[in-house]
Amino acid sequence: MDNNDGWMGRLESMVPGDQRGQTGNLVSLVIGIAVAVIVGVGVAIPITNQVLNSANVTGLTGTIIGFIPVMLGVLIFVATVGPIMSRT
Amino acid sequence: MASKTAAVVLALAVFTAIGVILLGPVSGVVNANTGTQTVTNESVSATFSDPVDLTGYDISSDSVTVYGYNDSSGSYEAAPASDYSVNKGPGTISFSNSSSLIDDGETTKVSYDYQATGAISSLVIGFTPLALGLFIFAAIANRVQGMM
Repeated sequence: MDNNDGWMGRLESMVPGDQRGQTGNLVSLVIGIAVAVIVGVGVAIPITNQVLNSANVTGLTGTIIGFIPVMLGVLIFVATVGPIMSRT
Repeated sequence: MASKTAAVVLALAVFTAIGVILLGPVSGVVNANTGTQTVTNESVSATFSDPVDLTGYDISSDSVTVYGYNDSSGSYEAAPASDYSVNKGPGTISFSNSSSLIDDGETTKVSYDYQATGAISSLVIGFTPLALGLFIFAAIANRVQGMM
């Protein structure tokens, strides 16, 4: 979508030159993060846990596979924290 | 045309509004899918031949209560533990064909607690709404600092 169209384009045209375009980026970013968290935590992790519990894997394999939901959680957390670190 | 400062404030206000509006669903999803979750009166069709899948998995011990329909009293009442058995890991329930309360094909109601995520996952994911709030705060603070 062209950012020059619609209310977002008009809003950005009012923002000083060095900050033009960043408003749309921020809004897109926060929406993207929210969607990623909702899909990741609400869908991916429960399905992963369900499959892992149904598979009934034990021992070293079970221990390693058991970290998959943890890694998914870390991935989502890092995806949320990353933009903060890059913008401050 | 609005002044530069007013335009920046307006843009940040829109960003903040959208961010805070999305914070609610994010927090809700995190709370509903991490740690110990309670399921109350999940409708389960009793089948004597095969185990029936429950919505939850990794079910907590001693938290399962099954309610069967009593045809005499016309209401649901708690079934004795001998009428069913629960496979806690995958979250399945098997009904006993010797039950005097539960009939084959009858709709039962099952209440239980289950561990949606482990302790470490819950800890990490639990910080996600905080991180999102921090992102909104940091973005605003960054612009405010740039204006000073």
